Amino acid sequence: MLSRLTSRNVLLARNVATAATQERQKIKVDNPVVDLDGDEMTRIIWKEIKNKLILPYLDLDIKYYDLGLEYRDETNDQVTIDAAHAILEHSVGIKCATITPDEARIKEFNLKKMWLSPNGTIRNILGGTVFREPILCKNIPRLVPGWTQPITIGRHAFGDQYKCTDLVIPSGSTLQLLVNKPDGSKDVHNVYDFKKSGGVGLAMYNTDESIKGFAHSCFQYALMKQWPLYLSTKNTILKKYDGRFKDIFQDIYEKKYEADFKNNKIWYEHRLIDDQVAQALKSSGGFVWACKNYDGDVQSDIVAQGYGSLGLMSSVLMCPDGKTIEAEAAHGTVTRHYREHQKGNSTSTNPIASIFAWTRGLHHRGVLDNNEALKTFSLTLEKACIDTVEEGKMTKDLSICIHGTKKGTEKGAYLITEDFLSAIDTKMAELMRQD
Amino acid sequence: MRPFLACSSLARHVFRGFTTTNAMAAQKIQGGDIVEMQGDEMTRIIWDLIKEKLILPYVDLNVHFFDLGIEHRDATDDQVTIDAANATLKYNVAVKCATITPDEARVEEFKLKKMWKSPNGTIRNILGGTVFREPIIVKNVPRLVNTWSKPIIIGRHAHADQYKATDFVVPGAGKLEIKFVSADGTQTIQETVFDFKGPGVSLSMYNTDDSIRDFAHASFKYALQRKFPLYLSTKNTILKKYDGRFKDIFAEIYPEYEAEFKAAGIWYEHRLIDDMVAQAMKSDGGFVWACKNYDGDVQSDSVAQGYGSLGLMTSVLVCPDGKTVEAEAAHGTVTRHYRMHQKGQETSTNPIASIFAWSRGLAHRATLDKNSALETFANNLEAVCIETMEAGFLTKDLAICVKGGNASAVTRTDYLNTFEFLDKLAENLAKKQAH
Repeated sequence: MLSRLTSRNVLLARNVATAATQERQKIKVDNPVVDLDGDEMTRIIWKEIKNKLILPYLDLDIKYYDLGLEYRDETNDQVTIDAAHAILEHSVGIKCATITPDEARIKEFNLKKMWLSPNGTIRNILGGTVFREPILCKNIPRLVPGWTQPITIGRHAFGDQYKCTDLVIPSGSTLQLLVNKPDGSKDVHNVYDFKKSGGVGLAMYNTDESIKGFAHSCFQYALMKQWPLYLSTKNTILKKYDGRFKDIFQDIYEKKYEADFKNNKIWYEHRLIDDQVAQALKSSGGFVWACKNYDGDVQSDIVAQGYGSLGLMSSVLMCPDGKTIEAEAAHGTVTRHYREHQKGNSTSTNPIASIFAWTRGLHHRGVLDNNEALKTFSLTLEKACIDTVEEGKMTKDLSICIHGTKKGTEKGAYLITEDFLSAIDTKMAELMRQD
Repeated sequence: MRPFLACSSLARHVFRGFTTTNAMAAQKIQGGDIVEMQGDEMTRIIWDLIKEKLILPYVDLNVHFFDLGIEHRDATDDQVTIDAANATLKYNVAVKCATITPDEARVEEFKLKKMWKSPNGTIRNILGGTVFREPIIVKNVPRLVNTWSKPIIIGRHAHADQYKATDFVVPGAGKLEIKFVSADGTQTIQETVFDFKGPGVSLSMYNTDDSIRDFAHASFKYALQRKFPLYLSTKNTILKKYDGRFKDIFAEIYPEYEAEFKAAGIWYEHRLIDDMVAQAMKSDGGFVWACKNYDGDVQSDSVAQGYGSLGLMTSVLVCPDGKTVEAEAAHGTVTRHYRMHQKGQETSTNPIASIFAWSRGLAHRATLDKNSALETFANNLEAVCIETMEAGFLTKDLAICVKGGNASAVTRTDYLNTFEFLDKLAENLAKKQAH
């Protein structure tokens, strides 16, 4: 009875808070955003973010697509394709983390087949580049303390090692690369003569079309962020392959972006990958780094780790038109926490990267619509998240970053998911009253 | 002015004479055979001073000298490099000064007969080993990655892959294929890599089982020598056959070393490159990291920068026999300082990595010959270098590091010039050897 009474009081308090919030004038958002729902723990958090932090403040037309794995399966993944086309139509997609199925998930969900990564499907339709950026909180220690501003990595997620053909080759063989031209003629390139030893070989490729799309996305993103852009390659060794990346970027920069860059007091430079990694480590951040596929894979993990927490990485897909974007958290669906949740246990799951997916998407909506109030709202919500953490209220992952595993996991050192979201909600309400 | 200069020269002369007299009174250590490869520019000058001040006063060495200075390489049509490498195979220990690898500008500067190849490349081709780069840790030189309290040693498989790739621009639509033909002509594998609809780029690269095996042996032996665990990083989830072969060969060979590894309390593990870079970033160091060619190139610059100064990196080439070693500094010939020196200007060039080339070479000679006096000397020489820097006697590059990378915060009293620093080391070494 006492317990039940307490619950009712809490509910009443929540209702009062909601009522108070609903009295404020909501910001009118003129055009829709596409909401792509996801899976597991992030799905639960996603709903809470909308209900607590977004909808109380915005009059927002949401085009909802359920990309949860069960619904993807039910629609034969058509929902993912529809969602991508909706993003093309409305220019802003905000995506929750999703499961990319493997054998284990097929069994778990009795899937019809192993559906492709939704991120891959969306990227194929939108054709953009993914930019990963750390979210900075002063009290989260960085492995590289010199990084006082974010470093954003744009990964060219097409071709190269990820679409290559690789072979194991026995001793005595010859390895060749052939090009069959449309006119019927054939170019033959001898790669290696495996006279004395067996070994391995591979062939990989990329296309001018894809490299051009990558270049435009990077220049557009750098302009959006007002940061300089660096492209890293190894063109001293791969003179033709990487040389092509360098040439295409230079050509597009000179023809289309140089004047804009200069007006915004930013610049574009090409650098060798080994120089760039050393320079990046020495830098204070504040730049966009365009990486080829493999480098993007490797360097984005170094950068994420260097900033201190993988839970504080946002991810934005920028299309070559500079207008269409999709924002999401860089992390996964936090399966381990979801299992705990399913057992009725409390979790301390960091929602910040998912919140920043909303803020980045909404801010872009504000830019496209010339909606100053919406832009201000987005930046205020980001500030609410950072202020809350910097005032010492945080989830367990961040507490461990600051205090170490032993002290960081003690009761009182961190908040459970719901309490952390409430703390951000409180801070947000406070900041919005100030505005 | 002239009397002052004369006085300064006289003082230096007297000091040097005194040191020499004092050292020669003691019994010199019998050092055995060593191959010495002289180099270029500022490092050439420093190299001679290291020998004169720090090595020859204490060790009676049978030096097999090869002048790999660019002018003598040119005079001998680069035969001197080949001779030096073969001598290294014969005597098992070489110490090498940094050398110029000529480009167009250098061909003109020195009126070279042709653009001779990198001497390091030539030597590596003959010796067939793996290069291991290791930071020298000095407590008062701040690290950009502050958790790295122990060294991370990177072993780079400097053979083939991107560095021997066949790459070309694809001019338009066409089909790219990779083909292998067995020696007896009975077996052919031909696979389509990509069907180009427009222009692009392509490359094919290879590696050999023999070379990968040599890499594995060198890595296992070096980890044993250093008593550090060994990690091999690849991307075998994507390059299942190509990188899978590296993983398989290491796994095949590890049983030969497993008992020794366990006895030494160390281990071998394979890791994905993206996991490995994140783990490395979070670690406190203390491991050997076996990298494929491209990763070795990129990550060794990243690691060097993370430890704070490129001037504090050693480089050791370990052959698969585990017996033959070549040691050198990881940096170049410090051309900018050499130009200043040529103009009669003061320089403050860091000699530490060049000194460690000598100490590592001598330590290996001591190991092969079971020469404990020589081993002690090599260790003392390294200790003197570190203690001198930790006592606050620095070259300018390190003084800048200590002042947080802010060059304008460094005054002349914060550092010693090249010759003052070497004299300070000589003074401290004399004291240590006297005990």
